[in-house]
Amino acid sequence: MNRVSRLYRNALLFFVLALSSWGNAAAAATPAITAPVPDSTINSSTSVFSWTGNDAGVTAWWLYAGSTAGARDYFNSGHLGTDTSVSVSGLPGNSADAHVRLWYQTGSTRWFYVDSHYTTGDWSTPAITNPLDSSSLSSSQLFTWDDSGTGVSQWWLYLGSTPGGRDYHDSGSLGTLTSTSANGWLTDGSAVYARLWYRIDAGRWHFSDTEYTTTGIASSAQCTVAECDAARLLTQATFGPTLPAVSQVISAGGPAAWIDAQIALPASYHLPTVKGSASNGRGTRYVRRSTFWDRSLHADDQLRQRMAFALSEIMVVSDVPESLQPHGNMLAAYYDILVEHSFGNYRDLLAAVTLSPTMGNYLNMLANEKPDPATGRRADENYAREVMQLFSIGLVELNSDGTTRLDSNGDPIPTYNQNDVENVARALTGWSWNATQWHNAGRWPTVSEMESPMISFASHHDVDAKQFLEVSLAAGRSAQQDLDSAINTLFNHANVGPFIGKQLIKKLVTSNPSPAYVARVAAVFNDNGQGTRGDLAAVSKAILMDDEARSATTAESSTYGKLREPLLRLSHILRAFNVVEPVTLNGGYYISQFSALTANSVFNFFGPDYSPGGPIKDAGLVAPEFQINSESRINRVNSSLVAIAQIDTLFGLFDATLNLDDETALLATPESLMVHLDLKLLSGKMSTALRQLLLDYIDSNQPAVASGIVSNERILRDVISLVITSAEFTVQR
Amino acid sequence: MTMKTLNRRNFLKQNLALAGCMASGFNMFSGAQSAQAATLNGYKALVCVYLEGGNDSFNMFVPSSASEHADYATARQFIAIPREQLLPVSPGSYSDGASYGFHPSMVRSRDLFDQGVMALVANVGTLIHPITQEQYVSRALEIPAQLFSHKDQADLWMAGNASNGTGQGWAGRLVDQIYTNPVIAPRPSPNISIAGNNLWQTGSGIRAFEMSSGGIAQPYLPWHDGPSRLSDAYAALYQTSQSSNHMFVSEHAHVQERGVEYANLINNALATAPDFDQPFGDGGLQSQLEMVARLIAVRNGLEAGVQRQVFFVQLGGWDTHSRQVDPAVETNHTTLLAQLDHSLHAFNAALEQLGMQDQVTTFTATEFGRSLTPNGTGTDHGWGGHNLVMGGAVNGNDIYGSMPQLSFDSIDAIDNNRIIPTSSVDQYGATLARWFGLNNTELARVFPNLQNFSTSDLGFML
Repeated sequence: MNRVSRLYRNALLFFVLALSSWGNAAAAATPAITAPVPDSTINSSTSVFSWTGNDAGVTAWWLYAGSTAGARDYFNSGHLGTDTSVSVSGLPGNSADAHVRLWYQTGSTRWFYVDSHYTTGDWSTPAITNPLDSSSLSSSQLFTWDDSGTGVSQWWLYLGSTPGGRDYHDSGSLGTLTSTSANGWLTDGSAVYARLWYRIDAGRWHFSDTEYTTTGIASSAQCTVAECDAARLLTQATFGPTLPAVSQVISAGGPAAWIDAQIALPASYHLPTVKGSASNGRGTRYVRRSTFWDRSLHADDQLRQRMAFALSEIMVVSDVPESLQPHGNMLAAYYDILVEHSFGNYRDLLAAVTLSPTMGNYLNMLANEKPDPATGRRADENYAREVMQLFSIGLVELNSDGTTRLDSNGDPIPTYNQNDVENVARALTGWSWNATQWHNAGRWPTVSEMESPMISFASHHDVDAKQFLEVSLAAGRSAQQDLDSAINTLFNHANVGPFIGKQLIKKLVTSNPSPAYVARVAAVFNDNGQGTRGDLAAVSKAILMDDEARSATTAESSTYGKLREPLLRLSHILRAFNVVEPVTLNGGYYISQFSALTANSVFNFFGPDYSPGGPIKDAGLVAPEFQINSESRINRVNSSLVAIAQIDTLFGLFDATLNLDDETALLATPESLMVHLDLKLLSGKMSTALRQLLLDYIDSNQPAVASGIVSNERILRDVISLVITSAEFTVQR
Repeated sequence: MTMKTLNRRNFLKQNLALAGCMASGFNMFSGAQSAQAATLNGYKALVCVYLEGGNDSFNMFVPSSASEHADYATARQFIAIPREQLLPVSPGSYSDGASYGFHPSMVRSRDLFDQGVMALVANVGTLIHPITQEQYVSRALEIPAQLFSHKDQADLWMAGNASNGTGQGWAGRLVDQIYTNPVIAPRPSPNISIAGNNLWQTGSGIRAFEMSSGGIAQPYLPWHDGPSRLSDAYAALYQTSQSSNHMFVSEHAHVQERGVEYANLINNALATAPDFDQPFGDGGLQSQLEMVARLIAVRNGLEAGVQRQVFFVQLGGWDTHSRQVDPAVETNHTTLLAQLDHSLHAFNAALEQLGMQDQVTTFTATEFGRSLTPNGTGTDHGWGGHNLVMGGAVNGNDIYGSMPQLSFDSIDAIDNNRIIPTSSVDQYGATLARWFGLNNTELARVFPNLQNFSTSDLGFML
């Protein structure tokens, strides 16, 4: 309930006392308000009041409007001189009472008044919308409000231990921002009073009050809306939420502002750590993998790192082939291309990937020799095919919403044919290590060659004319010119927005985005709003800020979200429990699903359109990550996660120690522990069944704990083991 | 409760209760038989050895007669296998005027071929109709979509339906014909993969079971002495989660349950597996085939009286675009063929030891052959290619189908020296499926385009 009227009972008393010395009774000739007509309904928060003196000889006017007779909690005109009208602003909506007191002075000192009463219309007034009035605050809280169409030009928020107080927080002027976060109140059950001040143009300040309780995070039933959403956002956009990160999102001003701040952060690169970790000046596979973990868990630019990881599962290279396996620096250099361009332009990304010697080695663009018609030697088609099929345009023409375009027979339309592949392959001949002369792939390159883009060698480039995807390249063009044309042609193909956009949505948010969602993201790819195509920062923000990503209602759908691959389950756990030391990989080194850039083929660990047989496939849905979610893999992955939770270093694949200080403190109040784990592991979506199962587990083991048979710590580790192996934790919603 | 969510334990419970009320003596525990449609006779298994990436099989089995080898060498240039290095064979009945030999690294396969345990099926590939170069060029007949693309051709190959490579594979449909009630099909599944998820074994009813060559471990859920234990709570939790209204949560929870159930089943059974006299040796394919041999040995421990099983193993690295014959590369085509050779030989020996050689048929598959002409250092994606079939029921020491002309700009080539298949995957698979027990009606269900080809039996099974 809105507290405006309640609070002003006290204020009224004060003002009545203060004004009593001015007198009260009116003289015989009584002025009266003429408009609005008393006892009528006022239909706008701003309304011009006019009156007449009725020959009372008035020398000055003054007008109050308030929630009770004589109050001025809505409006106080100040001294009006002889004006007989004033624009009254700040009237509340919601069919409130509005008592208007018209003061007038007939001599030099004595003030009289006449009262009128109105009812206000059914409009809304500016007020805090989140948290709801009378709800419980968490220790750090985002407050949001809206101006209900009143055109508020400036906001200010007080939070205090008394009504109107600001002992907890004084926001300062907020301009037109409609949210701010605050903290610092006692969480001992006492009340927190909020006063939201607002003014329209440079008019008077008005306010609306709300009141909250602070039973504290410890015993509130669930995380707040803002916290739940922040945790969801962090599950989608980072390697896992942490409580400090949840607070960061809130104090940044919410998801959009947090994303902007993330995009602005400098990039954390991998190669500087990996470089030189092998004695020959190259980088080891082991250090490359542990550096991936260090950056993914600890780098501030989480969104960028998460985008790079998503891209690494689209533009795939892998350290599985023996030509790349020993060279951690080559893999790190490639990953840094993804890190660098995650918020850059897709065209630059595609060009950098194409000229990466790591990719060149993986898909044989490196040292791709021009054809020899005399012998029938052909250009290697491997990269030409996959750059089209997987990295840019896909196999079939798409509508802008990502659905397949059909021809008049109802068949899909291939985007390219074998002739296109051969011509693109020829256009991309003539590139090799950045060395003074042409070397084939088998040569042992120098460290600098490994980490530099490939360069072209004119005598190895096919200079004949080429034709692909409705583009004709004349004979005699250089390798660079042909490459630029090929990249531009792919980049400008209408498929790229929906093809890449939909895959990124699947990696970050949900396996089955609606066509409309894909279309919105593709539109941003096509034009970021400033006429630029391929702006990946804009695309990532569009993906994460889309209603389909943020809406709590959509998230309740039984088909929303995605299964999380093992790597992201693990990273979430390590971040949530603040594993600060470098992660040592131990046996985890050998589990490919726990390391980036280790897929068995360019088709990634799992394909974007995989659907497991059974209800999911029957419903026409895809669930890509289920491709690596067989019975034996679940057993193995869950074993690894439990081993980490139980610090079983014999079995543990990772030498990682979870910090359980917060959970240990909460174990005595299991309900509070549930809320805490719910926020940081399940984004506030813990089912009542899971909650009850965990509470029962704690409860039923209490006698054994009391008699020293089992330790409290063990019960706590079991509870965490259960949450992190649960289907609820595995599925992101 | 729908059949899809009905689990086996509950099904058996309900039906046992029902059976108990009836005087028929109908025993649900021999359910494998009761749920079979096709007529089965004893035990049989199919083992698919998938060569991921596209085996350059024109270098695995090579013309050795002078004229044909010269044509071959002109086309293949520096990747041609020298004639004097080939291991010659003497096919029992196949005759096209040429002679042939195995790649020099396949001594054991040559021996198995000579012994009549192995056959070569020539130039198999994805086809909707038989097609000639002229028909291909003029587009007179429909051709499979996305030729030369790994993923798509692998899908079409596995689908056994070159018109539509989505949804189901031919081993999945094969098993669907035999075990019409998935709830009481042999456990953990008649389709077992030792190499991960694959379309080939995906049917409409039966789910393939995946495990690794190391077996399947129970989830690690350490014990304590209190009254409620982690393992019990883990089980209670996945059971609860199965009723989640969220489709993915429920699905995942079902997989969790099967993980626990099947780990018990398989580990108990494997404890009784024998050791093999001939070592399989190290290597991914060797280990996978050794696990298949062990599973075949203990098959009755998984499901008493099981009659049909289908296994999938895989060896990667065959996408030899570059450095195909470079001896400095640890995994080149030569070493891959040697590993295949060794693995098949060891597997055959293990089956002999088990007395199962006649009941298990092993065959190779790969998404495509490779371009006859090389690029700078390797070969590109092609279309048709040769495959090997091995087992006591194979009519070995022979070549089946027909050999293409392996020469530069061959009459059998399209799109710059890629060879058109002369037998379809459907014919290859149907020959195996008929041996497995399917009749013509069932074969037509499994291979919808089979009717487009002159024969549904390439003749390589006894």
